[in-house]
Amino acid sequence: MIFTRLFGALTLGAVLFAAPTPLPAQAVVGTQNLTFGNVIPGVPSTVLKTDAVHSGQIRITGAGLFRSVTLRFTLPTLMNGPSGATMPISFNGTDAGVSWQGTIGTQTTFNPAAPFTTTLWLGSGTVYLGGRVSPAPAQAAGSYSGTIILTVILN
Amino acid sequence: MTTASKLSLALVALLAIGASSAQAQSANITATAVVQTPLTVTGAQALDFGNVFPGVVKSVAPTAATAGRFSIAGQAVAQVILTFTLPTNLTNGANNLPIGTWLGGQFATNTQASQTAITPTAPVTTNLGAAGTLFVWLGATVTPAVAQVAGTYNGTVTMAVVYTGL
Repeated sequence: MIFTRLFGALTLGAVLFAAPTPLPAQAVVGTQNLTFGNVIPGVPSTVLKTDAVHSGQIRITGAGLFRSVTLRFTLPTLMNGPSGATMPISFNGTDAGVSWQGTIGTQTTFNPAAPFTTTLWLGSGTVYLGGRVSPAPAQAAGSYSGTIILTVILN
Repeated sequence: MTTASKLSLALVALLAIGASSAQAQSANITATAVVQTPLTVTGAQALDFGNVFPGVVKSVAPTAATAGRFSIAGQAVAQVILTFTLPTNLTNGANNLPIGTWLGGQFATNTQASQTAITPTAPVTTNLGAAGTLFVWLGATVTPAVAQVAGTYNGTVTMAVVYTGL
């Protein structure tokens, strides 16, 4: 009898400590757009993930110490421009990086086309993204844009 | 099953439900780019020396009515580089008429008298005008020999224009 009661109490304590902590509101925030700037028709343009000024950047906070997270991008293949014009945009296997320290020089490279699992040792981190656009020689002049989504899943 | 066991199973079930619910959040950023107007370059007027006499050097200034002229259209105020391919001879079959001392001028509008001098023998970095246009004039000097064979002599001048991205 005594052994049964003790076993019940230990189980209750273990369940409570294992409960997941949800991400607080606004814990994943886009802090910088991926900006290609002026692009010349017929001339491809690339932004590196290590470009502090032009790379896309998303900040993650509140994940909890030593937290494993999975990062998943939803990436466009076309950017939309004036009068229905589109321009190809692409990302290769080294165009994304994540830094638990939150510094662009310490990022771990990953392929933005596939889910990536990493550990945010301090519960926060920054994800960086580069890419390239390929304007046609007769690409219509004007402003083009495309939406990039990063989903962060607590493991 | 004891009460404690039932409680444990119930709590484990609750834990399983809590663990399977996705703890996920998303954020958006935008990829942006501004495509510039494509460049067009036109050879608008030939460099014409007119009648040339054997042994008599003749020049056409970039400001002359018969100067050669190119017109460029593209993105307003964008920086471009002009690169010229200049002949050293005009030809009439196997006969050569030496040409050199190339001079040039540029202006944002087709106002020849307002041109700023350029040196066409080296790449020229400049900017298109507020309307995205630039006009370039060329002059040179031909040096016919005393026994220069009579006839019509021709040559080709090429100007290449590229954006610098600035």
